[in-house]
Amino acid sequence: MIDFRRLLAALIEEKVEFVIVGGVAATLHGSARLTSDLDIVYGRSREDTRRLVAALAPLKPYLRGAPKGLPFHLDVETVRAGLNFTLTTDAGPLDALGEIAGGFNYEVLRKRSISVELFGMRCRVIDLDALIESKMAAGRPKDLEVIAELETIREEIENK
Amino acid sequence: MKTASVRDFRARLAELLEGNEPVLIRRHSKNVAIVYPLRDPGKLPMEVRRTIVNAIARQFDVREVVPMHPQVIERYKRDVDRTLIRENLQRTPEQRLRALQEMQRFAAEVRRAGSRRR
Repeated sequence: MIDFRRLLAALIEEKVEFVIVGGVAATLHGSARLTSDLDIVYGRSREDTRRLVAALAPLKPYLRGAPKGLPFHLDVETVRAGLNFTLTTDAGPLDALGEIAGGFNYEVLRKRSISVELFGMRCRVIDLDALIESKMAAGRPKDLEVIAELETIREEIENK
Repeated sequence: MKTASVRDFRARLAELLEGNEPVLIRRHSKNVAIVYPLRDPGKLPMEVRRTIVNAIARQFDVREVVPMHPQVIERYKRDVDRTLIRENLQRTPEQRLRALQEMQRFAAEVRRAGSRRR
């Protein structure tokens, strides 16, 4: 289970540049599906990654699914050398992604996202069209139902 | 640290990998690579360890891509429950997130009950 308030507060307090994507973004747009992790696309500048590392450090991040006891160091160098990190944290599972399918990195998503208020904090969420595009580009069979639902949401909003 | 040309490294690969020290590979009088033996992983430089972590992270990230045909999505859309969507669209984004959290809490409780029964 995810403690959304705690995770988002950790990111926002450290001024991490991020956009919510994936299943939670779908929920925020009106999806009724259950999702079990928070996916974010984070800024990739050195300062952005420094803030991300500082925000996550108190939440004891570890690579999800990796063998126990790995000498894992989520420092700025590790994040800059990698891109996408699927993590477990004390506040729940978090996927910190440098880019998602469709070429959506943080710079692109800044222009393809909306601002929403959650627990008294302003957060950016990928817009509905971009979310559908990224799910289409990801080409995962499990996303077929998700895309169908997101397209239905778009129709419902347009027909309002 | 041992030094070997690319040709030398290729010819003596098995022997050089048997050793305990890194091997510096040179090509045309330039340093091109260092090969670290894994006999003592604790001695690996931090940068190499970071690289290993990233290699593992990438391994989890590899997925098969299948084409998303519009006809297939249209077929899936027939089964979408529009009443749930309409209900959600009446809520604020935070209310939708709180509902998801409640759903996760319920799912966790069901899983716990299931494992207690086993």
